[in-house]
Amino acid sequence: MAWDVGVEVVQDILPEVIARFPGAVDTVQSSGAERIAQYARDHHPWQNQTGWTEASIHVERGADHEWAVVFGGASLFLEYGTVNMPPYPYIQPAFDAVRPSIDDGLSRLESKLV
Amino acid sequence: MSNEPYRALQWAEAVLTGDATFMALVVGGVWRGLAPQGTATPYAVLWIGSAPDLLSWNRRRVWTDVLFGLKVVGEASKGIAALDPAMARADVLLNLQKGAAGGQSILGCARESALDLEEIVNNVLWSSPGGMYRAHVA
Repeated sequence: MAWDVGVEVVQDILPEVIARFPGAVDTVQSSGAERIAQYARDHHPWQNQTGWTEASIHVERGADHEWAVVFGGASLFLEYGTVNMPPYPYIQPAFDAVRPSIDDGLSRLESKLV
Repeated sequence: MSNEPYRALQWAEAVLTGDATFMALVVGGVWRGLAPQGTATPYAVLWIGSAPDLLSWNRRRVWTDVLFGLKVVGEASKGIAALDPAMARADVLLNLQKGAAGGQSILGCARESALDLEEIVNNVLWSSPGGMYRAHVA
């Protein structure tokens, strides 16, 4: 499963921001994706059991200007629960915790366009 | 004392259990987090996925952005007959709705993503169609 790093704040003018500040948008998003991955590694509820879930969390580059945080191991079962285990969400909370800083970084770039 | 995430679950639970059509489809009832072993199937499970606060510039809480999950759980063989209609009915009851619970307002609720979870339990395939719902609670 993968969580795409969103860019809703400046989505409409993102191409303009990318053109004006080559590399800056990529930096904001890739560093945001890394922070999501780190937050999830630090806070997932199955620490030090097999190590597979922590080790599986990583960032992959997709298309241009797109990054995805990828989760493997027991991530799916932890996030949504199973018939015999309640959910222990940690992926969405990681995204929600880091997202404001990504939005803020993109908004700062947007403000420089004016 | 505010506890917006639980207000969202409280509202959703009341809406679902108050609907005779939905309850006829989920014979095992509605549970939070996990149903007890041996619960009749299908049953529904609600849980909190995430709940960040939206704060104003002076750190006052505007609302809590509650993401909660709902899944209808049962043997996959019951899928077309029971699981799918139950989830479809739940979506009618929760999506694009608003309400109140525990003295707080559910300003709006909408499904943010759909789920379809499969797992094998004792050599039987179980299926859990569901969805993640975003509710603004103030």
